[in-house]
Amino acid sequence: MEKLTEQSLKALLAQASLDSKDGDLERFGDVLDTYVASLKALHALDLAGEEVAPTFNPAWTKK
Amino acid sequence: MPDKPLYHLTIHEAQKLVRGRELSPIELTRAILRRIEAVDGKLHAYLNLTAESAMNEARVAEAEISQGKYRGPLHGIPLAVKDQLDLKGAPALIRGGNARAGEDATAVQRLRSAGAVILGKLTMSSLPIEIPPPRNPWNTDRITGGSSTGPGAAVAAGLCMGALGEDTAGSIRNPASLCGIVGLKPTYGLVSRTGLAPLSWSLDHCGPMTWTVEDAAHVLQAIAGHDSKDPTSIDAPVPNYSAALNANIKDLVVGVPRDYIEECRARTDPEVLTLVEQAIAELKTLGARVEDVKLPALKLATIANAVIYYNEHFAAHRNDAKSTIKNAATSARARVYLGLLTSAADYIQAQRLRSRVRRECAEVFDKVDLLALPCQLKTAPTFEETGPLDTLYKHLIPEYQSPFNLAGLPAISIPCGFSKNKLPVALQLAGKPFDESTVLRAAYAYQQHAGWHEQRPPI
Repeated sequence: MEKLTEQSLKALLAQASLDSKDGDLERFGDVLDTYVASLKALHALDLAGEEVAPTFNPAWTKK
Repeated sequence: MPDKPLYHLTIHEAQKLVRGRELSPIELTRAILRRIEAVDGKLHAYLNLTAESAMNEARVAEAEISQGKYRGPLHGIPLAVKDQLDLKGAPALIRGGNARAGEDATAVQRLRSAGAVILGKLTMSSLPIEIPPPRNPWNTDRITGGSSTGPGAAVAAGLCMGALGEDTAGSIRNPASLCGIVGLKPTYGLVSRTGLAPLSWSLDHCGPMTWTVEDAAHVLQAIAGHDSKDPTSIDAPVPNYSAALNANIKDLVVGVPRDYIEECRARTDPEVLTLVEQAIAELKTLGARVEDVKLPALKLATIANAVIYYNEHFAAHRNDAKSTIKNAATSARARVYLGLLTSAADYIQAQRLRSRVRRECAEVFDKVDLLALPCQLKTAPTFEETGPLDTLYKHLIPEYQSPFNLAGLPAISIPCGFSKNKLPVALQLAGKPFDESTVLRAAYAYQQHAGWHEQRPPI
């Protein structure tokens, strides 16, 4: 796993009072790196003009 | 009586016999239970078979029908549901622990109201524990595709006459395409999510998995419609889906998103592309007008779907994260880490892309009635070719299914042929919001023309 991804994940785990399982960071390194790279691609797109979907519906009163 | 085993009847065929009192629901349910006993040891489709209550329900259906109280096409028909849907009194492995559901999911309640016989719960991938994965009835060395793994295997092998599945990133259409059955992900909001264990609240869709398009219409008819317990359920009239089925599609315009197919081409098995192109050509032969359309935002739709999925999943299951990391299966642990890595800014960017995808789709649907494209990248791989993280990788790289979860549009997987090694390939048709009738009509016309549903798996 790339160092930055590993550091970020460790910090987020600590913030959530969680620990990774032994070996998981190595085991999942590639899929986590692929994900982080995909996030960068998503943010490279200019979507500032788009609404955040789905739109909040104030008529939702029931659960 | 039919000239084939009862377990190979379609819902549509069986309901005619049941309604005419030529076939008893008891006899039909018993035949399916015998079939399960004979082959589910090889296929592992069922997690929880409720044979005794199913027989009781069949007896009730028999008594009602004999008294002239026929409820409709699902009356006395044996169906099953994915583990993700609550079945009163049955454990839900997806929810973790041993808790039993206090109520049926709304979709299950509606099947029962329609008189269906519920056989039990079918397995799925993404469970927190490792269990034997279902095997593909077309070749038991191969996977069914997930996450509705049990419904895929069970419907294809005649272990139920139809099933309810759930689709967050292709989980109905993926096993449907790999197992050679029909899988319909309805429009978001058409079918209640009440009693559906959440994977991702804004992407989860409950829908039918059946052998034929007529059967999908029958099941959808029973489960569709407003549910005041689900705040995302849409309060709108439900059309008569079966009445919309006919083989005439001469008035339809079918759009083919060539740019997106090109984006996925390098990862798509050439045999899949060839068979889907042939199916699209056959839609043209049937009278539909076919034209290319462009949907550039789909390029990042798969990753946007994954971002929303992992973020909402982590939020829904945050309190279980510690035990998931400690005890759960590989893919379930990885999903926790992916959810943790997803920031609010990532989620909002994904939602913005969702808006763009919806807008592009709406613009395209001003000109066409349907989109036609492949449903899968490849035919079913062997277990040896498959790793525990494959599904997660599938969610990160452009593929054909999750864009329609992101957009919330109805999409159906329908068999369109077999590869050289005799594995099913599927065409996908997607439609306008709440226009399941047109999706089903085109799928039905194709099915009747192509006849792939006449071939059953060798098991």
